[in-house]
Amino acid sequence: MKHLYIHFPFCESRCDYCDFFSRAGGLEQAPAYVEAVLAEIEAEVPDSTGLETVYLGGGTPTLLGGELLSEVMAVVLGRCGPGAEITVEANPSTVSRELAESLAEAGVNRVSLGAQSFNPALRRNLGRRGPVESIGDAIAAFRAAGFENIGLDLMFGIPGQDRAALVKDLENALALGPAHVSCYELTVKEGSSFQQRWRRELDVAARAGREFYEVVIDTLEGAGFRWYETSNFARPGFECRHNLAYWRGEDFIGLGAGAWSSVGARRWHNVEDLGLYLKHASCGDWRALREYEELPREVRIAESLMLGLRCDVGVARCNVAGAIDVEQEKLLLRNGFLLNEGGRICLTRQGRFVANEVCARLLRD
Amino acid sequence: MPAPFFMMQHIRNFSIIAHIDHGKSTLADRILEITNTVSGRQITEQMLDTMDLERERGITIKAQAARVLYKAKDGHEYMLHLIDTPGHVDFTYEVSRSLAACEGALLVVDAAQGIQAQTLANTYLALDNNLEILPVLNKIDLPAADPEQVADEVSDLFGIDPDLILRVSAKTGEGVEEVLESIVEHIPPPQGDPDAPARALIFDSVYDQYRGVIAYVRVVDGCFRKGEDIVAMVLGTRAEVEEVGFFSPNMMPADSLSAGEVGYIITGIKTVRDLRVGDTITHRGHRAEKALPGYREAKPMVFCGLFPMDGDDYPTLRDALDKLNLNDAALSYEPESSRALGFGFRCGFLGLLHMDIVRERLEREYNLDLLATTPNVEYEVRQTDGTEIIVHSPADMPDPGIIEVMREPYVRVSILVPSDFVGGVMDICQERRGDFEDMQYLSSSRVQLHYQLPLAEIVLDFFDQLKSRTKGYASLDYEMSGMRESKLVKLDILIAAEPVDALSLIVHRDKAYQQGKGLTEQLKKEIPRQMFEVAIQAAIGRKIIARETIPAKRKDVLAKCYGGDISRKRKLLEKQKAGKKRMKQVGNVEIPQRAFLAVLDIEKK
Repeated sequence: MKHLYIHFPFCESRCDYCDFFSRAGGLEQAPAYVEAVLAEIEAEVPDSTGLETVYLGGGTPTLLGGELLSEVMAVVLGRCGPGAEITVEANPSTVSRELAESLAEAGVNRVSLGAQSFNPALRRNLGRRGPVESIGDAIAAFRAAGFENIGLDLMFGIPGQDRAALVKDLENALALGPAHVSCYELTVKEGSSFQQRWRRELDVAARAGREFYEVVIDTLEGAGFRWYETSNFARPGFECRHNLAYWRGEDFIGLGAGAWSSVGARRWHNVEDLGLYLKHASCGDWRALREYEELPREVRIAESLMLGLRCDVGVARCNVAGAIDVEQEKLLLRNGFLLNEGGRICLTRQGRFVANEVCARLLRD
Repeated sequence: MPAPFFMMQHIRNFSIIAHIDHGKSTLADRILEITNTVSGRQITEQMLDTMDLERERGITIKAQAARVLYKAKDGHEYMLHLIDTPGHVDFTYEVSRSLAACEGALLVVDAAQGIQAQTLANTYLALDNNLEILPVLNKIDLPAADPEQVADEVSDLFGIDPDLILRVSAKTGEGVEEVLESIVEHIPPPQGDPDAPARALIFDSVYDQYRGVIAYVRVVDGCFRKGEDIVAMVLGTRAEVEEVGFFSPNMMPADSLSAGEVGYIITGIKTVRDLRVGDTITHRGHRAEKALPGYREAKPMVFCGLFPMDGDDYPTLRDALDKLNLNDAALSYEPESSRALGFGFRCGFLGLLHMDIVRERLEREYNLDLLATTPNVEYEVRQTDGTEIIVHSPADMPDPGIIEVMREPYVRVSILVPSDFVGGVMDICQERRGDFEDMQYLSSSRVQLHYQLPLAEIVLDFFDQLKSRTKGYASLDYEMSGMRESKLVKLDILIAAEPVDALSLIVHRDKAYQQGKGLTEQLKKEIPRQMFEVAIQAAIGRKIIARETIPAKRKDVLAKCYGGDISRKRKLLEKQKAGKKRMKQVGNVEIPQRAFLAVLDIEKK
């Protein structure tokens, strides 16, 4: 187990489209939460682990401030191996020079900044707070603190976004010189109030989905980024190693309320309830706040295939052979949706646009 | 209940003719109750409909019988045999045999709705069999009941004195006693010679896995006993009687079954094909001279392909059909292989209801997931070399170059409808290539129309269309009127340039273009976007007459997939995969089941 995720379910305010587990405010509980997380680290991650990657995600971890995060980092660092990638997710509006410096000092070496869009109207439509300028300011702050590995999160398919607005967003992002860009198509929960409010705009966006996706890929590839996963682009050498671990089907431990872990044939997640998490943590009753799922071998192989095909390099065929419907594979190869290069199968560019469909076909019963 | 010896003059055999929901089964239940044949506690709704399917749909598929003893007001005890018959046009032959086993019939009519087309047809069938008709207006307790108007209608139709028409509520039991009295008084006792060589009419035949075939019979002459050697006179099937008995309504063994009585004969024969409805049973040693009249071989009228969704289920389907056939001589089937659908069977049915029932039973009782192709009828083709062939499937249709003449079955359709809807009915019959015959007013507000229509047009959703254009008021009946020459062509459908045999249709030449266009448009709606652009074409021979294009699926990706998403995304993928399993893969294209019946949807427009 070389990969650790820690969840911080605190935000300044909830963004309308987001369905991650988090809550607005309640920061007075943050010290207790940090204490609980530290206890969970002690319980779950042995000193000698030699972690290769750590990811502090949320929520908005940076909302907790440098001091609390440093406390967490102090314990985490002791469990890291040499050259570990340590990422913190940051909301630009929470970033200051001081915070950037204290994170650098605490050992964090990668940041992922949630920009989403540079267009004030679109940000409003997303219910995203904070001025546009904060994005550039945050990057400057991290640069000043010595960060090189800075990623930006963007979004397409935002209600009201047209092609020109998307192109402008990408230009703005590139102008800031990030090492990594994640660009997600906005996914709206079925039946949510967000969906109801923006029904028409979302229909328009859905129809333009392919076109927008191609704009994103063409622009970022044109700027020298590698399209290494469905929604992720990196300058060579700056791929997110933590996330690659998910897509390679490696084991990982997730700590904090709502966090998921997957080790061998077992997957579990902590309860998505801050109060319950704190309550059980205080008596070290970790099992009581988890839900377990057994993963039979064939399920794990099928997942490896599903996850591996998200990446440009695909997956070693010999590792997933048992999950493959060979007839379908032939068809997909012949029709240019799939490639087999040196024993690895991966999606062609054409195939990556319809990855679900390809995957559903490729998986055998 | 040991059967006392009854003189024939104290026996009454009758059946009940009624439209669905007009209360036939409730009246039968009430009769069983009043005569203490079944105690109140044993009564389950619709005692005589034994199959789940029958109870659910409120229909009778197999005939049933019950013997009741009734002490009449004249002081005598009477043995009444009630034969409950299927009421649907698909089973007209079975109905005619049940009626032939009786001397009278109760014509049960809903006092709110009036007489319906099938009831009318069955009543004529009863009159043809010289049955005494006793009209009974049911549901007189309903606020919407209009017994006077309905009585006038019945009286005009059959020339019956309105005063003799009984008024009952089978639900409350009101008037049911009078029905029994009227049966005793008006229905003649059976004729027949107790001393002549024995003859019994098989009016239904049911297969039981433990006892073999149970023949439902009406003894006309003589007497049958256990141990006797018998023979079915038309088919020549020989057997020994293992048991005779009557229905109460459960089977009750008896010493003998004599002239005039209704009951069953068990012989250990293993399939109903050997002991068919309409055949006559006699003694082998003391054989009757002539079989009872009216035997006919059940002839399938409607055909469709049945294919297992999962090719591995083919042997199960074959076994299931074999088993069903033990109990259903009218079902025909032969192996068929389709390029699109793999191995299956081309099945023949008496009609659409029969087809529905068989399909539902196969799916339900044998746990099969089936794909049915669009139903068609039987065609006669004379080829240029003078040979005649019969075509049961569009796939069997010869090359147009060697077809000299084609003939298709026509039916004479009778439609009963409130006069307000006559226009709509005429429109639909016109669209369906109908030839108008005549129109009569049954009363000031109800009309009977007769049309000659190709059976093929009825088979394609005609009844549903008729219902929807008449707000559900129309009722329909039809009878075969023979084969007629028609200009027919085979319409092929090509998907991604591959002909899909299971989608081919035989259509009238004048409607081919319209059907081809409708079908391609409908298929475009039914077939989801694929990874490629897919062309759907309709063709007659090599000539393409219509085309639609399904654009390729443009984008289908999950944007985010991190640690907490994996299980959920995997399940989504499994769902997508499962959705595919419900589709048929034809070449590169996945076609949903529904699409194979797309032609039914174009008729709706």
